Amino acid sequence: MTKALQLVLRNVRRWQLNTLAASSLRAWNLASPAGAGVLLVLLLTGVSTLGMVIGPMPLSLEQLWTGLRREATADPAVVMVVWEMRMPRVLLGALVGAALAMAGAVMQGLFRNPLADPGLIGVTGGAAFGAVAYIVLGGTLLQFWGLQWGRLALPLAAFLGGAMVVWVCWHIARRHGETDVTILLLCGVAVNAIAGAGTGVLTYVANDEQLRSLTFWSMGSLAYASWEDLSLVAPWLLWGVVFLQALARPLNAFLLGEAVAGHLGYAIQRVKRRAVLLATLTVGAAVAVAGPIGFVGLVIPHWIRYWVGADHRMLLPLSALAGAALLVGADCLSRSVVAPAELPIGLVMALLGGPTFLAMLIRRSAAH
Amino acid sequence: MTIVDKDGTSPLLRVSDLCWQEGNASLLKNIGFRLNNGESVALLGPNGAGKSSLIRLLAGDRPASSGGIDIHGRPLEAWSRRELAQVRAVMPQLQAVSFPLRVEEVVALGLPDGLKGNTRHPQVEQMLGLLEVEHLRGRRFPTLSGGEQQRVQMARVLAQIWEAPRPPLLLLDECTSALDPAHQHRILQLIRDITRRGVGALWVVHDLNLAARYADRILLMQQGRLLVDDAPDQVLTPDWLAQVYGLRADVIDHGGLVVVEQGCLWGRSAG
Repeated sequence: MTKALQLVLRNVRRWQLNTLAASSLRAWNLASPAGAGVLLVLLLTGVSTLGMVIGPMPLSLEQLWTGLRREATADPAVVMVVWEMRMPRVLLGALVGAALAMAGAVMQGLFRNPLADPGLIGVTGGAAFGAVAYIVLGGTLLQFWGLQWGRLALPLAAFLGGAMVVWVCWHIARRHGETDVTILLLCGVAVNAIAGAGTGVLTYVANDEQLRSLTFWSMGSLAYASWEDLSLVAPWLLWGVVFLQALARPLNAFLLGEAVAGHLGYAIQRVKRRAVLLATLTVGAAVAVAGPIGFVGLVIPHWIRYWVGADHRMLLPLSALAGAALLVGADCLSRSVVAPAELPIGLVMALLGGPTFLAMLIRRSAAH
Repeated sequence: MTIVDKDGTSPLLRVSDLCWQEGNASLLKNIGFRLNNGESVALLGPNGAGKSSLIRLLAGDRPASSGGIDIHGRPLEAWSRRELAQVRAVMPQLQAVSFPLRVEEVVALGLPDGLKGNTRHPQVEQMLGLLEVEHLRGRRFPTLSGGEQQRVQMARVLAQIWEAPRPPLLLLDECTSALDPAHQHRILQLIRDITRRGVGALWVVHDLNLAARYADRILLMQQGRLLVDDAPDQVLTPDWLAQVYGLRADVIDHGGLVVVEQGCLWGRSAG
């Protein structure tokens, strides 16, 4: 009797669990924007926590909690590590990742080309040139720059380099008050090559020490993240992310063609100007503090688009979340793979992003 | 659809002495015509005659070199893009879209300001039904066939002017080019029906019999000039067709005009 009862009870419980699982799966439709959003927020929380606890001084969750709350009982070293080293690093990684992914999504929409990347309009190449120029010539020709700006000299040089290249491209691509996006893109390719050559010449004349620091810079890193860096770029990145989101509706119309967006009532020249300006600001600021980090801007919007669709109102915020999660996650990897040394995060991203992107292309071409 | 012609004073579209040069090429020369609301007008002409250029200028994509375009008696330049979008919709030639927008999202982009992008608006449903593409609603646009894409774009165009505050202008550049014969008739019939309710439509087409059947007037272009602007039975004559297209054709009256195309007057036979 008791045996039969137990059997019934067990089955009832199993049945309950099954229906519970099924209904929660249905409610959590992962292809819906809300489902994707929840999943990405959880993921971001997860990797951020991971980013806070791993490192040369591993922390338990309890230590993290006491450190975060600066409790009187907390070890001062833990508080220091949590607040001064890991927190700015995780926050910077999240902001840079969000900004790069979002700028990538906006550029792809603007150019109506799923392979566009924020680097295409020349921001990254120009920023690299600016940074390398300061690293190599900072002691001689550009000494005044260092004296004037001090610690800000390098990020500022990178940012200015990026902005200048985009400005040049923008003006070359203008005809009769309108900007031809195809010419803008081609112009970006050409100017990128020129900036690359300039960077090459500077690399050639650099001495050993300069060479080491420019190589390190050009592979991208979050290792030197500090509150000072964060307060320098966070306003630009946050501002860019918010205003890029405001372009979601016109960008949807852009997907049908620039002329169609105009017929639907959008001021297309203004949309283009804002998109390019905001992408330059955010990507320029990101590169200035973290160095060039590729693939986030290319791969993330691609993933999200095939996951939840092309509507920019969803695509942009979800890309920002996913980009943040990816970069914080990649930073965890870069800190732990060869610990106690660190891999540059740009390298980790290329190692992760390249093969996944290829796998995606192969799967897609196999599906067709 | 709630459009009535209240002020019959100025025509919906007036084009006067319109010219357009691009570099050294003179693409449009002294074009002038009027289009009233309630009219369905076909724009005909051989390849390179300037039909698409004219549509582009009328749509405001490019500024004219000289001459004037007035919509509701007001110069085109004086309209803001936003105001213009309320009284004028444009369907360009078939264009590739490489992003996976859903069909309902494409149609919802046509809705007026404030509703734009709202896929749940009943008008989206209505337009999808009108163009017989409800079953494609959730599909991704780039996966559709050319004809299906054209019908979805047409639904978007009609959604834009369906509740227009004033008689709207439709500019359609080869809106039937990818459709099967039945759908070509269906769409041109639909355009004719809505012009009867106050819309003015100018459509580029290559099929002479479609023009004969559905146009109130035909504009015939050649080498950037407007040659004739008249009723179909005055334009679709063997003489005009021979002169403009180099086409040998008979035109018979079979309860309506029928053009029987016989062959090409120019070129050489192989061998």
